[in-house]
Amino acid sequence: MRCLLVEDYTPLRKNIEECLVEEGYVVDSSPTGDEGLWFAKNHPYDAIVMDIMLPGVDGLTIVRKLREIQNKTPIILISARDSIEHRVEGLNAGADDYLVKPFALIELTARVKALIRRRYDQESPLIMIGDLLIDCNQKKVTRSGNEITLTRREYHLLEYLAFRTGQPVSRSDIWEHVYEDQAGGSSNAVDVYIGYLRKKLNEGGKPELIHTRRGHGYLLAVEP
Amino acid sequence: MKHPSIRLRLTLGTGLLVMVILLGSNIAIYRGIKRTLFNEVESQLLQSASFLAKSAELEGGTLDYEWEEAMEMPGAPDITGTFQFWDLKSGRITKSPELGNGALPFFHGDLNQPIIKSITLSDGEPALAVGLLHHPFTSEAALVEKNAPKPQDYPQVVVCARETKSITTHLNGLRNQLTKAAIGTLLAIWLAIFVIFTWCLRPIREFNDNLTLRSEQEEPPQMEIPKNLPSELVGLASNFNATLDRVEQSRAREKEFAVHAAHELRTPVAGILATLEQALNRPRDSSDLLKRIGDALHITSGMRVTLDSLMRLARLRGELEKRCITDFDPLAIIQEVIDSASEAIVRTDITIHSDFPSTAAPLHQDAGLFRIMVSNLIENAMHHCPAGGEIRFRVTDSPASLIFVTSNPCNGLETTDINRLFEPFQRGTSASNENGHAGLGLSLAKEAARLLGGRLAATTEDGQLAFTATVPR
Repeated sequence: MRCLLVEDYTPLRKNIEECLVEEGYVVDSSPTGDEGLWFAKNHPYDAIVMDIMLPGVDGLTIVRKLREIQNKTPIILISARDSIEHRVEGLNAGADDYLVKPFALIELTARVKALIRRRYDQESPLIMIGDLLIDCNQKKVTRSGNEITLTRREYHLLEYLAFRTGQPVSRSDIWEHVYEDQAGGSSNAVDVYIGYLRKKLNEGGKPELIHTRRGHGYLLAVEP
Repeated sequence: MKHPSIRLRLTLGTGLLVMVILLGSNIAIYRGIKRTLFNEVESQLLQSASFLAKSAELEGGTLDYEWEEAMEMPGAPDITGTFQFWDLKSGRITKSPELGNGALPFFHGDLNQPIIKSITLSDGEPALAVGLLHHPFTSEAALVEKNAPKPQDYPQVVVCARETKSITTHLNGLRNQLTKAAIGTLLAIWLAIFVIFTWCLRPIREFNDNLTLRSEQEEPPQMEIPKNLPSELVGLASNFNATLDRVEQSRAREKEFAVHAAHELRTPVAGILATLEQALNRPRDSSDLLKRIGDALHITSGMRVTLDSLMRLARLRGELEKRCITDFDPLAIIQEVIDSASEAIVRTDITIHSDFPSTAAPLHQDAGLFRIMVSNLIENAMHHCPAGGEIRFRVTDSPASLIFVTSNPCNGLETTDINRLFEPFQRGTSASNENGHAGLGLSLAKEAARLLGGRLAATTEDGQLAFTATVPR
């Protein structure tokens, strides 16, 4: 999953970025409102974490501008402004959540996860596709009760496909949401990781869950 | 506390004044008329007394009262009132028929000097009377005869009176009419004051209602002065409005200050929390942990700078800093601050140019406040000067004041932003708050300049932002 973090205070930005990366997110971060707005307009993000008081364009203006152009990316505002009026103002501007500084990073990451789940219509952190069970909190995958050991990247690729169960997902989509280096994108890398995943998921001759849709990408489903 | 009422004061004051004027004028009118009427009566009485005196004629040793004969003839002269004669030689008393059995009091003045007195007639009515001592009339021919009786041997007293009841009644009627007119005028004036005042108070009530509405609203609109507000109150209302505007601006600034202060303090706390949480959320080697603890300490020291600045600003604003007036060399302090700031703020991408006189007269001021002002201006210039820019520090010395000017290039600073530069937490885009640079420096410099009895102003010209501090000696 790809997140955008806009925060001008470097120590906080660095730590949130590190925390989100450790949680498996691909993170773009920016210290200014103008740059943050440019990022948000030009890249598909699964969630945006943004301060309100920023140099240049402020966070509330960014939220309003994004909603004006029908950008539906979930946005969490983080701010030192703690009054009810400020929270209401932030949520009314179009933000999906509001967190008052100082906050615990585990709370921020839990809220980011919840917003992303909601974005992909996943109510529970447990996703079940046939006999495949993905626990998004534990980052644990089992098939027919047997745990499958995946690398970080394999897990995040599977999680992204699972969030979009039943829909074909293009290679470029996978690349943008799961891989850090967008400029050096390669469809081969996606194919390679899909190959690794298939091998681990189908171990023991289990039925195929990741299907190739020529010209459309990959589809995670019980039956094609 | 009971406040005085303008309406009551105006009504009572005007009423009292009108009452005094009316009373005075009515008394004057009444007295004038009374004097005129009584003068008329007195004049008639004197004429009558004079006429009657002449009617006593001494002829051949016999005293005749011609008025007795005259009154019996048709076309008798008009003798006003009642009268009575006393022949002092014979003791004979004659009186006018109107007196009947009554009598007039006997009184007179010196010879031929009539005196007037108020008397009471026999029937109890008040009257005015004139008493005259005179000698009877004697013809010229009789006077030259030998052994002719001399008029001075026959002194006569005549008292002539006229009742004054009708005048008194007339005067009483006049007094009643004047009193009624005065009361009527007073009531009419009071009514007029009440109506006019109520009419004048209506726009004041409207203004007051608007004021109440304004105080109840969170972001009140600009209040308009009612068009029908009395012109005498427009100045007061305008000043009141302007004061309210300033109060609201001050409230807004306070609110903004609180929001900014919260941001400047909560954000580093969030940074410390995030740093420590990240340090503890997974096993890390000792060097990594030390680095993270060091980061947290660095944030803490930045917070301390912000808190120190905030405390100092509060102390300056509350004038809690103890003043210490001494003579000091301002150039030495400025140079010392430039040197220490250059060491602390390492900027190899800017040039500093100083234009100071070789010497300056000692400044008789608070050296601590002067240092606060100068250091914040110098540090502000060094933090905000864009790369490749030149900072100029200039000192102008004069017998009355010392002027210190800093100037540096400014990118994209609008003229409208200048007034906000001195407000707390106004931080340029090139500065960060990570070392405690919370945007309080210029606020501190402005407060220090104010406490020094001087002023600090900002101007922009040709892409240069200049701060001019004037400190009186």
